[in-house]
Amino acid sequence: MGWIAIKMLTGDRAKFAGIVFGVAFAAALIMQQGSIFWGLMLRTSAQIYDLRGADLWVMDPSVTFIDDVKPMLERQLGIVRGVEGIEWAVPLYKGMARAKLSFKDKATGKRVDVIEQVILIGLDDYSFVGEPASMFTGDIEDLRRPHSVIVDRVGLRKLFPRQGLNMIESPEALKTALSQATGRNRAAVAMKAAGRPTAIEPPTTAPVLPELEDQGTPVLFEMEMNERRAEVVGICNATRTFQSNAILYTTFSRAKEFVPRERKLLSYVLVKVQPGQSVDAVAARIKSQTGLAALTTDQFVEKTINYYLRFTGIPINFMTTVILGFFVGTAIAGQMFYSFTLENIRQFGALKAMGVGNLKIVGMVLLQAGLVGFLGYGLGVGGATLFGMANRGANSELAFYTHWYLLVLDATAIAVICVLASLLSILKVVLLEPAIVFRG
Amino acid sequence: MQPQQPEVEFPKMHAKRLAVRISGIQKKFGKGEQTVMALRGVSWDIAAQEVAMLVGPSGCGKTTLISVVAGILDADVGSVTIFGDDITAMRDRAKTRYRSHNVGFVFQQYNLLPALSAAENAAVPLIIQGVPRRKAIREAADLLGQLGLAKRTHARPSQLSGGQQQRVAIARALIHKPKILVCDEPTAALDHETGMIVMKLIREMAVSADRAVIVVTHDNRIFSMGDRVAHMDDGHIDSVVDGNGHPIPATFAEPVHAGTT
Repeated sequence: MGWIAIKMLTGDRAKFAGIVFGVAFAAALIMQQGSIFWGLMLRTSAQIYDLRGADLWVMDPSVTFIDDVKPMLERQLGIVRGVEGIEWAVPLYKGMARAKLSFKDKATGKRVDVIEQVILIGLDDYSFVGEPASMFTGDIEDLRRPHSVIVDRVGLRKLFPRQGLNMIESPEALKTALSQATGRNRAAVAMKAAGRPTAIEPPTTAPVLPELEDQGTPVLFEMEMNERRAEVVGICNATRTFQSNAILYTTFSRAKEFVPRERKLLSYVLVKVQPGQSVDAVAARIKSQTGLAALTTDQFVEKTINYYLRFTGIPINFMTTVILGFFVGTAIAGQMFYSFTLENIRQFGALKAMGVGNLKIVGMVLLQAGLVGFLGYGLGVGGATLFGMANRGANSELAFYTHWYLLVLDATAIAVICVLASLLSILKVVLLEPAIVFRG
Repeated sequence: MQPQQPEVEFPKMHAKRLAVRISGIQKKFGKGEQTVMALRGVSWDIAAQEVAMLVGPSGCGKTTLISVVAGILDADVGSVTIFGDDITAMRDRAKTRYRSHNVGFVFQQYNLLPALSAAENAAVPLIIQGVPRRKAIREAADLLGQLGLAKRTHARPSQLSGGQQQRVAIARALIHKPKILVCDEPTAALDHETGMIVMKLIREMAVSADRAVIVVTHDNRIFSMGDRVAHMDDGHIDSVVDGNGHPIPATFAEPVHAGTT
């Protein structure tokens, strides 16, 4: 009977495609919105994942998420270092800073200053614990040089909004584009003329900031923070953050200079637990001996995501779309499926008259709904995945992450949609009097 | 009240085997003032190896009667036995199973499954019984060949003429060798010539010693194809005539048991 059910379903291909499309639409909508939601939630904690190397994050106990920095006195670092079971503990500065960039207005030829909010991360001066996972161009060791900072590649878009710098795949092409955007190509001319090595091509005219050429270093561009010069000496790869501000990495000492002076400037302490020591036990010890909170990376990520879930409207907004997708899918699939059943009602009646019992008829309808659900789910998830793949990459604006939970959730939603959609049809065929076949 | 049957001779009836015995069937629809008495105590005996026709005006209860006889509608009062099996006493599941093995249907609107080919449509009753699909379709194709549709076994219903569709429906009704064949206005959607061809086919293919054939029709042009014709009106059988138009009793004069010849 299953074969007959499938033949009945697929007989009218246009109608069949319509029903499958309805389910696929719901599946795609749920998956796409769910993946974007998940991606956004991951972005909220991207900086936690990006700062690697430590077992524990030690912070003020009232911190609710990564950006909710409650600065501590620097002496807390020493106190934490005194806790038993710690191999090392290093300071970390994390905060917002104002960066001033200078551009030359092409139309007027005058310098234009632009202020941008950036996320400033100050790494331990000696170990660079928490350094970016990978560099696009430059070397993390360059941070030992005066004024040096490293910017994340995605953040370039925020600093140079119209140049599309974050989309350039080749470091050399990026350097060239940067030189054109900042006018440093003129510096390169002079450097080249003087026979000095330069990272910036192509050379054109006179230098804007001639003092840089003395260093003969690959300074990509420079900016000002808290009245101090900052030279971008490298570009790193970092996960896009929720706020999408540029992330500047520098040393802890230099970070303190780039922001207005405050009494408390220690944001977090990154702790490595001694081999053989339990991370949880050390965390508990830190808590009891210092009064600070000590969280593993996963715990801090969870805390951050929970904050966004509880205190922002993001989940509600996405959930609304997901629920809408569910109801739209149910309505489309249900309406089309019921209309399909109605069109075949005489055939169902004939089958009942010929001796097909209600159980088998229900089985036929459920098989049809199941097939529609299976195909719709596959197409919908496939479509959403293609959408995500087309927009993937660290530089992508789109936050898209498909966790396997979402696949299960989507499958469950589609199963419910199919059951709801077939419910009316099942009622119709079960209550159907086979004598209908004798009515002309 | 059932009207009194005419006192007439019962020609050769005892020589035939009793196939269907309809005894005092009553059926009403609706409740209270809306109640409609569709069948008012119908009794009718149908012999095997005959084509019994049920005729009468619209709304007289023909469809209700064959629905009860075919086991797809429950009677309020009375019984129907088919070759000794009392289908009115059966539970729903048993009745459904009984239909799948013993009842064949030919509908006015054919009711073929549009997505299936002619052979697949004709094979449906065997598939319902659990016969493997390929075997069922092969048997159905053979039967369609006997009905003159050997070259159309792969055609969809929409690719067949009305007469061809009805032949597929006949094949579907006979493929599982049912004990009773119920035909509802089998010629109503066909022109006269095609209707006659279809009725001849029913006579040739369906009539057998272990089967009863009941044809409900308005089409007086095919009355002559019946061995007996029962006239129904207002929920009861008015009269029964043989193929020559001679009145005969609606039921056997003496009790005849299933299998009696």
